[in-house]
Amino acid sequence: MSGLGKMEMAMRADADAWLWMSPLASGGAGAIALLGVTWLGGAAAQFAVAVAAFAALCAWGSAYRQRTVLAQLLRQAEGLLEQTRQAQRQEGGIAGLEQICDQAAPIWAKQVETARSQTEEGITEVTARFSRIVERLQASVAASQKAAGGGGIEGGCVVSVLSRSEADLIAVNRLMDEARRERDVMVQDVRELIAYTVDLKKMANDVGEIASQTNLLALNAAIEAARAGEAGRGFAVVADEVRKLSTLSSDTGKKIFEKVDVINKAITAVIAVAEKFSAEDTRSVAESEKTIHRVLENFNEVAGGLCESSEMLRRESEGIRAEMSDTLVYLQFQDRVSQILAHVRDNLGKLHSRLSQYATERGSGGSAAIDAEVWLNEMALGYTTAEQRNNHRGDQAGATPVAAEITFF
Amino acid sequence: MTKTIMLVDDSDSLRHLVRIVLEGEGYGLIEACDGCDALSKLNGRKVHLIISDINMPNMDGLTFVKAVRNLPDHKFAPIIMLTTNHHEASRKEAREAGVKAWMVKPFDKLQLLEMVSRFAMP
Repeated sequence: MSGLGKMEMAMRADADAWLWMSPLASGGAGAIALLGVTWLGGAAAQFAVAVAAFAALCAWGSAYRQRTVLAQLLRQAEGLLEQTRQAQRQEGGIAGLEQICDQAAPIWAKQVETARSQTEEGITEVTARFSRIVERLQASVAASQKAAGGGGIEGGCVVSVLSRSEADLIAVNRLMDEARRERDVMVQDVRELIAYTVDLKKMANDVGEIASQTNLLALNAAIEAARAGEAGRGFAVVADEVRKLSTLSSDTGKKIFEKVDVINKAITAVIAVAEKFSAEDTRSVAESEKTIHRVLENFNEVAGGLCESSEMLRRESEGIRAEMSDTLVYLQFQDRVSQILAHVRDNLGKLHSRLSQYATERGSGGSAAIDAEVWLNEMALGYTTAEQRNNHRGDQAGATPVAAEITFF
Repeated sequence: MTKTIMLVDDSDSLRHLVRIVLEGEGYGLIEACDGCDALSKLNGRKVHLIISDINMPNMDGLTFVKAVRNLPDHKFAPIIMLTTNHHEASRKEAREAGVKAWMVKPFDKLQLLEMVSRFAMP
């Protein structure tokens, strides 16, 4: 029983006692007056009765006044008790709110701490991951620069190597072109000499044939001139001249053959020159092969460096992709944090509305009690994440879950 | 042929993350910020898979799933829930609505791709 209840009962008992004591006091005064009448008698007795009656009347009046006052006090006490009850009810509502605040505030604090710790862990992880990504990118760039800056080739980058290789190839091409042009000129000369040789041989044959026929004709003419005798003497002279001409023709044929010999010597000389050029071509080809081999070696070295760089870039890219993939997971903390904070925000809003409602009801004298247990259960129904429920149960504030939970239906 | 995935989530950042992952693997993506938005964007369009959140404004994920099941063109569309929700009652409701799988955020890239590859219609 509350203090006010006990006070109410005590006050009621006290008031009832006063109401009972008033008639008793009046009765007491009457008894004294009767004893005075019996003991004194006569006029004195009449006086005593009058005094007793007056005393009794005064006692009754006093008791009546006391009862009236007590009744007023009791009504005031009852009014006070009613006010106390109202205040008690109102205080009971405030106590409910205090209970909610007492129990919900730590939970809210844990939710906020969860959101804060997840944010911090996520951002820290993201920062670390991106730092590693930057470092690996730098390593890739350095490797690429190293490969492009030499890769074992003295003093040159890829551009200069390519430039030198191009110059070498141009020189080789020029040598081969010169050799080709000289060979073409030579072949043309040889062809022309062969044509001359054929013509000269034909001419020599013709001349020899003509000389032979002419000589035979001159011989027949001389025979016929001798047979004619004196009449044929002049004709014999002509036949003799013709024979001389055939001899000259034969000499010309010999000269032609001599020219042919000269030409043969010239052809021999040309062939010698051609052989010389052939040897030079052979040397040029050999030199070209060496040059080409050197260029290819240079390219191989560059290509090898590029391959190594490419492989390194590939591995680094793979690593970066893996890092980025993991980073994506950690960036999802924002979604969970947003949901948790939104839930806290909504509950704070509901509490604010309820407090406003309480203030209104209190102003109008009504009851404004809040059931804390109902309130907390309603708050728990809005949870979506496991860590929210854990926090509500009083478990330690949790960190961000890192593994996806999958349920197949 | 490029497969089209519909993603329904009210979180811009999460849609962005999923878009990076799926478009990186050659999938086409239709994004919606809640169930109402998703229904308006479906509108007879061919989608090979639907990935949906649960807690969204206007129309939540479970209501959206049930609405999809009433659409003749998408009645049998495979649906995966991607959510922070751990409620067993919600999972049961999703299973009864014909959802293929329930994936709790945060998602793992490879796991998400495996799920998409596994459930996307040919």
